[in-house]
Amino acid sequence: MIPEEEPIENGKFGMGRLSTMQTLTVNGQEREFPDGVPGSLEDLVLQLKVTAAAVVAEVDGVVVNQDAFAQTGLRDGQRVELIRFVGGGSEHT
Amino acid sequence: MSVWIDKLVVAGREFESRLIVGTGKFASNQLMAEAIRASCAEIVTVALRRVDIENDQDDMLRVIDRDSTLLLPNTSGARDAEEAIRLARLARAATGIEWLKLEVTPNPYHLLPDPIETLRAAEVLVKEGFVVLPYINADPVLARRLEECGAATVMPLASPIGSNQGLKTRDAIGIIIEQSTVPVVVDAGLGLPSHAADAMEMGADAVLVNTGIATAEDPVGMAVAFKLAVEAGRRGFCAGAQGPGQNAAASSPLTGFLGETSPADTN
Repeated sequence: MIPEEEPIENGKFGMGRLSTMQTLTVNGQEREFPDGVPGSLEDLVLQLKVTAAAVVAEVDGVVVNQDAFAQTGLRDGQRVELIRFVGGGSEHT
Repeated sequence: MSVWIDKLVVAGREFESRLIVGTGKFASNQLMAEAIRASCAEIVTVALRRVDIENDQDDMLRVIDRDSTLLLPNTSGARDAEEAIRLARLARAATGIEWLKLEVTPNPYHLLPDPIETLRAAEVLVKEGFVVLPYINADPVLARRLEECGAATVMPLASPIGSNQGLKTRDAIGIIIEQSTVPVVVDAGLGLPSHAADAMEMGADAVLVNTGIATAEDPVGMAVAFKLAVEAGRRGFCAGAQGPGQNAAASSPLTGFLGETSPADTN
């Protein structure tokens, strides 16, 4: 039986991160995409299964409306914020 | 009986209800939606946060009837003007509406609003076309400055958010009401229907309530109670409520029972 290929961790074998591994920083957390970053913001929310909640986003600080998720391409290394509405009056939630 | 017409007008838009309801702290979205309906509020506040990627949730806006209620996104969580402006732009992109409850609360312990950052943010946002409703401490000078920079209302706090302490800032709010030419919305700390009635009797144009309704044992019942209290307080104000006096003033004739002259008349 062939074992499943293990993802190569940072620093393993002293190689540092593989230069081919693409990443996005999504809501402050770096995520790796072995097959390359999703083609669009819409693909990203589909992959992360957050299509219902994500109503607006920022890509490298630029605001993107939900209607434009499909037309918004993503590149390796970008910072993405996915934002939703929550209940709120004045308090932090 | 004549029809009671007494609308709240904010930035040229009319509202029949003077109760604004916050949507935080409800046990469920369903309960929140029911309480909003029961309150007859026409403005409801919502907040923006990062999506929780591990636990996808539905978009809470789906349960809010946007035909009968105006969404008022807030900038809660902003610690300075820059964060508030960023949240404002996100909210506008998400909702397509430009109304904004501006709040900048750097300290998560007391959640008191930062007056300088709030004014700075308001100056930028008004220029960008936002209808800005700033949440402030009950500071008449700040209220005036915000009004001058184009704020659509001022929203002084009655007492710290969520504290249910009622109108601790009564005197300062009285000055704000007296001087303001934009609506005064008393926000935060109104935990009981009587607190809301109190603010309205003073002449506040509207109140914002969240915790008092959302954390009640029966939020729907409490929403109705607040609705009635706001209406009662408003009508009391409009009917010309008289303030307290120092001496007794009899409401029955001052003659004695059998027509004797009362001691008061002999003086």
